[in-house]
Amino acid sequence: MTKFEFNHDIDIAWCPGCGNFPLRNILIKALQELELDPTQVVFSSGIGQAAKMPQYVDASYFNGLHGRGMAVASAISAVNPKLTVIAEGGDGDMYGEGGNHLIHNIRRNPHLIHIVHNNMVYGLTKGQASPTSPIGLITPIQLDGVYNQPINPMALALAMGATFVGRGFSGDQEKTKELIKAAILHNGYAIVDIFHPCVTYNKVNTFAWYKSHTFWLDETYIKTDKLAAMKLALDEEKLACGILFQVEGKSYPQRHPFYKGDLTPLYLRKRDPKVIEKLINPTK
Amino acid sequence: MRDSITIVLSGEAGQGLQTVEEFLVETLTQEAYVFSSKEVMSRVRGGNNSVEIRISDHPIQALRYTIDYLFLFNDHAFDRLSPRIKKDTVIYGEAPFLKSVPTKFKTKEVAFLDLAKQAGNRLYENTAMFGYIAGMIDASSDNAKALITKRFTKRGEDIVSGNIKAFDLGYALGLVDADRPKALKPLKFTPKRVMTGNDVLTLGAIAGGVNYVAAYPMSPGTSLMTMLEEKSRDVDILVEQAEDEIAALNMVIGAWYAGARALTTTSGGGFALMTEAVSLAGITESPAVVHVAQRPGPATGLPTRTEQADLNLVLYAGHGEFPRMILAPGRLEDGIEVMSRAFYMADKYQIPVFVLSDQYWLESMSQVEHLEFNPKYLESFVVKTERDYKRYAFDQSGISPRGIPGYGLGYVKVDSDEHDEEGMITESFTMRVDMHEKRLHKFELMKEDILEPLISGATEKEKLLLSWGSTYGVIEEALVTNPKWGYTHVHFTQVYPLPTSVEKLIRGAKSITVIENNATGQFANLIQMTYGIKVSRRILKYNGEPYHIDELVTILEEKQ
Repeated sequence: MTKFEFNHDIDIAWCPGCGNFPLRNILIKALQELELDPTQVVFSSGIGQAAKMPQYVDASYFNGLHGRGMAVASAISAVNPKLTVIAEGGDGDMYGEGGNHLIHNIRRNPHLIHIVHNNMVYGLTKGQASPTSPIGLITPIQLDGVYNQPINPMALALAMGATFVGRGFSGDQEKTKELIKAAILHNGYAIVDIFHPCVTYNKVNTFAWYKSHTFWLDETYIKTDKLAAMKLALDEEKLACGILFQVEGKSYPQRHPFYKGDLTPLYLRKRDPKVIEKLINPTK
Repeated sequence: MRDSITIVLSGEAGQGLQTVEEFLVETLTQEAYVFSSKEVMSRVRGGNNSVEIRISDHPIQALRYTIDYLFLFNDHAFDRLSPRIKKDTVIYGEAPFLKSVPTKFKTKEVAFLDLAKQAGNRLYENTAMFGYIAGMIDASSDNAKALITKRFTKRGEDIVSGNIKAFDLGYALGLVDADRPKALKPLKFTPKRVMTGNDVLTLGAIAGGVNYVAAYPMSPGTSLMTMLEEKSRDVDILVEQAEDEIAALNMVIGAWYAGARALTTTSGGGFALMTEAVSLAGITESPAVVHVAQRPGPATGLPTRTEQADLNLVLYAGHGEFPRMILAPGRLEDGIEVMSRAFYMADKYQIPVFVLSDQYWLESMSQVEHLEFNPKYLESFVVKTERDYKRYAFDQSGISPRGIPGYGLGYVKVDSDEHDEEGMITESFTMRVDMHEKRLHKFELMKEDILEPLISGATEKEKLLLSWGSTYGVIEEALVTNPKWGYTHVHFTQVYPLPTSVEKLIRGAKSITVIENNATGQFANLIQMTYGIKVSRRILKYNGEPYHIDELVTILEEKQ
């Protein structure tokens, strides 16, 4: 299977040993195993090392502005609901600069997958605190350590009413791949927060740290129980991975009065000049 | 200045001024030339708002400062309008409302509330006033009653007959008003439609194929969004209220990327938030249509007033260099052409196109006979992709054919970083130069597609008067009624890039006067920069009001 892979070498801008490499493999495998047609898959991303992912997967993409990947993705999926739309970026991009779009797109419940590479630090701008950096992390700006409360994306998504809330770890490739596949198959907005180490700038939250602080939910876990999910999400010592929460809900095309069950992309809906004439000169 | 009658209604927000305005204008447009506009305070209830209705026997599209007949809706409706009162202005109202009027002015008590009660309900008060004014100016009572019937039929027969009774009572009194004006009706007249700028821009967007709208509410840009949502019952338009203006323009760009014809609408403050995305449209060569409804700034400024001070903002918004187009409607009917053309140009040249209007132009009611649209503007430039498709291919036409994801066998790779033909990030200096020149070359291509200025007035073309946007109507009336001044009026509907066709005309002129509704002469500066000339005179107004015809005539007359 070579779909989503390039038939030539590509120059990848990540640091050697970066957690983004296994994430790329996981993502491509997930897309391949679901047998998706690459012409029907679109990535939307912003700025940052994680946001470069679309460059390295052979499919359509819109790599736009810092923090705005979700806004663009939301419109793409609204305009052509038949596409598989993946909004992808890092914790700074999606939870910091793009925070408002995160909140309001959970409310919209667009049919898209939101993948956030969460390494708890800024990479591309060289090591400043991100919205998920733990208190005490020393950075070039927070010389005495981070003093602001980190954002809890899982708890936030649950509180906002997300219908799919999942967390993975790039060190657990097989399980994270299955998590992404489940997110792609979900109807509506699916957030997948993926822990992964930044080998250059985060010396606290290392591969070993994630390994010892995370655990995977097993089959006995009931993923439709929101309070149980919230309890897991609020536990910052033992970090649960897997599908924390999933229920059926009405996605954007099922909610917005525009569609009425018709998912025909907008570019195929032609406007009849006769209808325009009737609106412009109604008395004729 | 045309012979005209100016009637002003003054009261609080929520007192029904607009209903009386609509009734009067709809009735009058069956038999005379009429223009109306309102000025309101930024509040939902209370304060003091006024509506001006100007009637003439010749076409008009301008307001007059001095008032002939003023109707007060409460006891604090006079003060703010006192500078607009002249010796023979007649001020009408209930006795208590007239107490605030200095005795030197001519007042006339009319008990509209009593008339309403006689007709059966105090709620008919505004209809009684409508009847009175209709009687005064000898408007057709048949037309008026037909309107009343149409408006109230849904509410039941009693409401219709009550309102008609109130109208008749008012009408009879108005007919015998000793101060009623001389008849001012055109000898030949075909009934016209009255519409607002918002009405025509809405239709223009539909004629341009709009099918996606993302916007965040901000006066006076919101109405376009509201009206397109209403029209989405008749045509396919997906309207989404964005969480902020940043999202709005990013969504519009994403929508075009996926194959929509998308629009956002806002005012200066909201547009300021969009500027980064304007730049995104620049490098990604994404079409975008952005309606900027101007109001006075800086910052929150005067939220409900008018100004033309965001030309520089729209002209320079966004970091980096890239082509754009700015269109501004002047005549009411230009709204259809400008807005539909914006979609076509955005699609054809893969650029952001701005439609620059203002509160005054959007909310004034004026007359049209027949509106036309150009079906050409519906044409889509989207191509079906092949497997080896490259979004940013160097094409002979100068424009890289634009594919959309999911349509064809190719991938559509778009990047906000500098990119190669395929859309992959590059740091190659030569690729940078090639891509940048390809984008900027569109300026040259766009010269084939200029919306030419409207030229009227003196044929000598030595003494030019230049304008753009909403000042068209008032300037035309001033010049048509004063041919002795010898001005040639050149009105620009395409504000940027400016047409080369008038370069000779502008360079050869003996004098150039520019009239604008702002404080620094932004358009005059653009004219100077573009044509390498010096503007002789700038006429500027920036108190939040549009130009009034009598005011403009006085200004122009002073320095002849």
